[in-house]
Amino acid sequence: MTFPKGTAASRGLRSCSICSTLMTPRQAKLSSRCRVCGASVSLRKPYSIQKTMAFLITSCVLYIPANFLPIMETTQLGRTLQSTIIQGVVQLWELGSYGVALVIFVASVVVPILKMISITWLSWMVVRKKPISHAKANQIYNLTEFVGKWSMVDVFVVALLVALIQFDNIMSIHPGPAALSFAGVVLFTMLSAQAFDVRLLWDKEQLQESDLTDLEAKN
Amino acid sequence: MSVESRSHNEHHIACYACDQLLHVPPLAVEQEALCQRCGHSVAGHSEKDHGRIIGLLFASLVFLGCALYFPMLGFSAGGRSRGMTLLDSGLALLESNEVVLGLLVIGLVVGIPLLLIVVMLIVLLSLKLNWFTGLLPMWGRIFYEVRHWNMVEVYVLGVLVSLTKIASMAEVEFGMAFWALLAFSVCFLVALNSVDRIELWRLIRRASKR
Repeated sequence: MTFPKGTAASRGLRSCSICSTLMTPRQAKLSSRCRVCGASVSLRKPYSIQKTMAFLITSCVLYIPANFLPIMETTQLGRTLQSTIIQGVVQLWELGSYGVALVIFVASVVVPILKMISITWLSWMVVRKKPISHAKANQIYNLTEFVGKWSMVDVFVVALLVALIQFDNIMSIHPGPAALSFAGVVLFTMLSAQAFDVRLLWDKEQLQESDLTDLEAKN
Repeated sequence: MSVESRSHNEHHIACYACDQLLHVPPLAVEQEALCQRCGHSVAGHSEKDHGRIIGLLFASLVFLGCALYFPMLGFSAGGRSRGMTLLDSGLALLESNEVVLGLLVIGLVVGIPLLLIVVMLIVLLSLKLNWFTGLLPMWGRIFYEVRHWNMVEVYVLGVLVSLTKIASMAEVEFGMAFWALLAFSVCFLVALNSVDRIELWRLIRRASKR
């Protein structure tokens, strides 16, 4: 594989992901561990796309029970009411807490789906044998990384409500099975984004303006 | 200056995002180094006075202690009232037989921040006092491996969301730990972001002579 001019990899230099120490090819032959911090160092994360996809598929599978099973069970005066993530959002909306409903909807529904789509798209860009737009790919990656952990907010809300509202039969809240699956969705999408090596995007050829016009002309 | 002509000294790094080989000089206050190729922020300004960061870290330890010990939120319904502490949000899940989820919440809310504070204190103190410098690279590595699992700010958002959720049902009382949690998250996040990675490793490398 050839790397773009000016990159560390094009000179055979490996950069440690923890302490950014550069490792020369000669040092790399002796040990694959960083000489400063001891972390494992490679030119590009090994099996990056495979690992990314494996974590992503796991989170997609978990996403199904996370949305269809109840995340919370509210017992009020002997009656038990189960609610899924979406039902929780609808209840909040009906209570008039539009802002909170929106926060939960974005964090628990929009963000995980967007993340799955964008990680798939980025992996596809890497695998596909065509030039890509670096700026666009980079923007999407940065957004994916930044937004990741905020989905965890719904899990924390469930944890807090369960701890706070325990009055036996008058009113009590218990966690539903979806809470764990949803936490899994968040953790596995985070692992997936971390397994993805952004440098793979920059190793690809830059999509030129002229390529675009060529494509348009063909169409 | 060609990179090949001289050995790769500590001022050369590869951009995390695009692997471009860059020369990063020590930065002045409020300066930031951006990658020439992709624009990614490679290095930022670092607080030179580690004493201030150490102070912030001790403050966040104290606030975290308060948040753990005192009640955070109180809630009354049907003539009965109940208070909860920071740790209760995880313990209640354990009591509801959600063991994995309970441990996960405790780990994310208390375990990881505590680990980050302690490790950062060890790093900064041993840099300052020149103690046990041989172990510095190990602590530095632990810090940067764990760092992106910090979710304190997400938890604070969670507390605010659940507050509005229950405010419609009954009266909510703010405990001492609620304010302690807010103070803790501010001190902790400021301390966490005040040391630049490149600069910290430069110091660690020098101190541990690797």
